[in-house]
Amino acid sequence: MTRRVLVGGVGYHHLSDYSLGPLVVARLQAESWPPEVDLRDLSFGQLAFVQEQLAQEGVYRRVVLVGAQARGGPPGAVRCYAWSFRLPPPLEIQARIAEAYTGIISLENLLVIGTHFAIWPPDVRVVEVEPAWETFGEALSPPVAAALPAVVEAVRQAALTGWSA
Amino acid sequence: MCFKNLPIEFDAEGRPRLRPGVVDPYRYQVRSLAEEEERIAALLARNGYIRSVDFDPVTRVAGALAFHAVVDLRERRVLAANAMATLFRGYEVILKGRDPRDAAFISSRACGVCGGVHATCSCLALEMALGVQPPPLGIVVRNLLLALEFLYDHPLHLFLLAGPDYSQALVEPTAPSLWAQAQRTPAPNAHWHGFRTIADIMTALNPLSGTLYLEALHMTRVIREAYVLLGGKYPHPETVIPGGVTTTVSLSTFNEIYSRLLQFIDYAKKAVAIWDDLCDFFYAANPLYRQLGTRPKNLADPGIWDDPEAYDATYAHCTAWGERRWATPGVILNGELVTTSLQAINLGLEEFVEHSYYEPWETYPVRTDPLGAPLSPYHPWNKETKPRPTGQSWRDRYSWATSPRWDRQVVEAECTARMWITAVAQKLPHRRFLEPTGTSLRMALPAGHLPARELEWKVPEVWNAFERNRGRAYCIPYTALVALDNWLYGLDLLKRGETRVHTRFTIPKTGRHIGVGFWGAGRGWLTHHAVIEDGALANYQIITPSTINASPRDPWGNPGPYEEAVLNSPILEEFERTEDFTGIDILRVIRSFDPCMPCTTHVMVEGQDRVLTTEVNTCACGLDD
Repeated sequence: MTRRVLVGGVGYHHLSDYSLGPLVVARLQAESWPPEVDLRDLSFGQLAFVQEQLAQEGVYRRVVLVGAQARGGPPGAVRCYAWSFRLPPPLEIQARIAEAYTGIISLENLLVIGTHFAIWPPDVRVVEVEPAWETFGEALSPPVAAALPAVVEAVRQAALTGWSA
Repeated sequence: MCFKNLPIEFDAEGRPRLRPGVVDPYRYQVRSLAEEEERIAALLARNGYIRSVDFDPVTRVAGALAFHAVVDLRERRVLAANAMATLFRGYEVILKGRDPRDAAFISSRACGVCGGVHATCSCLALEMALGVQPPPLGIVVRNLLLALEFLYDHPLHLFLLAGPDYSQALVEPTAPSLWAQAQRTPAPNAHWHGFRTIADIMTALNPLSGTLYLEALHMTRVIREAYVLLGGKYPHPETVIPGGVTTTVSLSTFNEIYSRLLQFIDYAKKAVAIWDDLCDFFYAANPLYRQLGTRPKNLADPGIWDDPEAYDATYAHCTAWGERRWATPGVILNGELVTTSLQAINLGLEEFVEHSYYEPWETYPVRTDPLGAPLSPYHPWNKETKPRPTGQSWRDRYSWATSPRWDRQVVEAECTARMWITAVAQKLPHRRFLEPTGTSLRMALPAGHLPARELEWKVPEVWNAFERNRGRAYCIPYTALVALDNWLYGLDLLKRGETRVHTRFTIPKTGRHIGVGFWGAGRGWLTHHAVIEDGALANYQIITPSTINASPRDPWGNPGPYEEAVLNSPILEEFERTEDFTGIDILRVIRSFDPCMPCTTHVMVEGQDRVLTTEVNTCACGLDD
């Protein structure tokens, strides 16, 4: 029986709004958490993470991923959803694997590649924010900075309670 | 005398100097591309079988590359080719004015694939500028890290990026007769790799599901584990700093690396067998495949993996310590080795921007190298990065890559160049496992789970797409043996108690200090040129292998290596109707270079001190201002 929960912050360091995931996790790490919750900065090679999960074979019963993902909505918009496990066509999966191997850190790619390699438990929850800035730098854009408290709370809820998206 | 075009000669003591009597020695005339462009445009307008083919982006390469070709589908040849680095790198801009100690950490981010090469190259540049010599174990650890990184990189390219081009999924629909032949052809090296026929190898190369694809995924994990045992983190290790490394090295760390390295020694035996069988099959099936991606044998490489007893970080001794590297530096022109001198390699280097989205620069601050030899105003120590995005034009500007040239000739960056130069120069001092013969490099792979194997990479008769892939496969055993040699060297240092891995240094607050990192990335050539003035970086220039290979035309109209290789390629794909043409041969050629463009994935916003990481669509039909 697997009982652990993973909260993963996906993104880059020093890349403005695309640093949101690691930033949220860093904030959450300052709080006290139940021992079964792992808070992880997922700003490293996504295939490395997938391979690590394959080796561990289902440690988690729930995964919560947080990060910035451009989908064309208003900057700062927060979206919470349960991952659909729907895969794109094989050519696109290939392209996403190639991207992951060549240094791209993307929330969407991680979801797709993880699904392809069947690393996810049935309960995968996503908290994502529409970015405004994609620039080298420490600061979040004003709309994403304004959304940060809501994002932190959404991740906390997703990790600890029933799904309230 | 190694220079034919630059006005540099050597005195009786072999010291380079400007040839006397040459007025304005580095001046050149730009050849217009207008006539050529008009000719191609007229052909396109007149003939339905002449098609403009655009790959944007080129998939299964790292980063942002687009390629434009004009193809005559009746004559089955390529009439025009343009490689476009579609995004700007900008690290030169970011680094200007910063504390030199930032350079390794920031420049490391130039690429997410080559996660440690830039950090190391940056450290070498600063060590030279600041006069810092790392202790032997620091050098050994650096060598090991970079060998391990290439062992991650080469299988990734061979089986995940380029490999699918030779898979059943792509061969069967684009060359049915070839596929039929592959099914009938036994694989000569089946006893090493386990695949009975060539078709079985092709099926195993199928993306996502093929056993070779999946095995390569697994092997990248093995070697990444070995890397992080020493480097702490991959990509972008923070343990590589000027003066050596900050990692704590122990016998136990070394033992853990060894178990993983041995797996690669075995994997190398298999990888070479697979690519030997594939290349030889294509040549036998259709000799025209020998012409795919051909270029003159013009290659350059600054060498890599320093001799711990020889490397002193000085420019004054760079040729001496360079020639003691595990990969000998050198330049090969028309198949002949013309130099192994790092000083000459540096003097011959220039970067041109006539067909790139940059403004030319006017300044000429560094007129001689630290030994007093003449430097071109177009040398990286003099270059200024002045981005200027404009509309795309084949006759004017069409790429964010520049055109680096050596002695004003088009040279190629390649990992195979390491073996090639080492083989023909025969200067390699480290011969425990490697033996250069003048025409080949012999490698003695010890037994692992598989028996011991002697391999011999031979200088190819023709330099083409297949030999690039075969060469990269042989670079796996070559690199694994360099790693093993350094592992043994490091073990010996540990036993002798020589555990120091770093030399302290300070940044001088005044004066000008210049340095160059001569190193290599997975695909070959890598240099970082640094100028430090009054304690801050006054200039920082990076030349990556893909900058060289993806370069646009130079001032004399010569195409860059990707462009030239595609122009020289026949179209061998089988198709009945022109609309069924996929361009697989062109893609095979481009991918054979192992393009790595993440170093170009940043865009400068005009008028702002900002760098974006947004994909820019540069459809060949034109880009607005």
